[in-house]
Amino acid sequence: MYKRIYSFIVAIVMMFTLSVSVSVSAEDTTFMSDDTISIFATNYFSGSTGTMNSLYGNESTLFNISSGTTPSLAKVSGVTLNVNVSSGSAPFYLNVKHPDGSVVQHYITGTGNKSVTFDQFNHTDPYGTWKVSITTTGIVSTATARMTVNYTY
Amino acid sequence: MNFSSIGNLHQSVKIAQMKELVDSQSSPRYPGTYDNDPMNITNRTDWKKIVPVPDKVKQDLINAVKETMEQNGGMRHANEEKDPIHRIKQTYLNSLPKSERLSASWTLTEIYRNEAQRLVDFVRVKDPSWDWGKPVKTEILEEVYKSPNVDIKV
Repeated sequence: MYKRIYSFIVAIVMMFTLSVSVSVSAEDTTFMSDDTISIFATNYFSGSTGTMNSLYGNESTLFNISSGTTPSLAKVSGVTLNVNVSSGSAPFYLNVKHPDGSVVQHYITGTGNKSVTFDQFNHTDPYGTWKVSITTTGIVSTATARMTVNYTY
Repeated sequence: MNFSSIGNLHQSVKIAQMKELVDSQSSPRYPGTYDNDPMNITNRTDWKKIVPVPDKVKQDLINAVKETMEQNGGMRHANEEKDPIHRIKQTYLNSLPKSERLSASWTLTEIYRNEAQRLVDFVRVKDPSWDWGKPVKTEILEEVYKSPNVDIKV
């Protein structure tokens, strides 16, 4: 008797789990808008900075990273920077400027390779020229970065 | 004063100097360049809202979306100076004080994206083989604008 009840409960749990995972993956690919089903596609662009040097609180050179052509429905879904910090660098702010002028700062300490993800730009238009720079909070900081902007359309 | 105390003093000064060097490298001495910039969105989400924009700007954007669809199959121009949507947005945003640009940018993006979505949905129904970058048949675009139904009250 107990064995049957146990099997029944397991079956219910499995059905529930299956239905949840299917709806989540469906959400990833489609959405409903004005009775039309649209399918999301994803794409990205990326670019690297040169060596960014910041001295005594002054902003380093700003490096441009261009989106190139994008679909007119493109929407940012995430921005990631892989940053390589030179040894001996003081902590610094990593500055990322959107083509529309909005800017996000991220405080970085330590040296070596770091990965930083920003969600502040999500749902904005990725098109145009992005700018990346650093601002040291100490005497000197040196870093390079590679930025990837993911978008859906 | 004996030689050993002079040695200790010398060592203390050296340690203090090293400590100062380490401190200067580890604790913030200078602020971030954009700490007080009105366009700093590091810890803000309040700017993602719709604000009033002039009707002319809305209509110019809608026309720019149509132009993008006609000329580049919905793809933005590779050269941003020649991209009509970018040009209209930047011209308008630069006319505003910095404190108003964030929400205005959000609003303009919503306007042209809604129009682009409307066009893309229509084109896909009429020509299921259409994809981004592929020229849109002229008669399909003409049909879209016969009964515009353009909502510019966003």
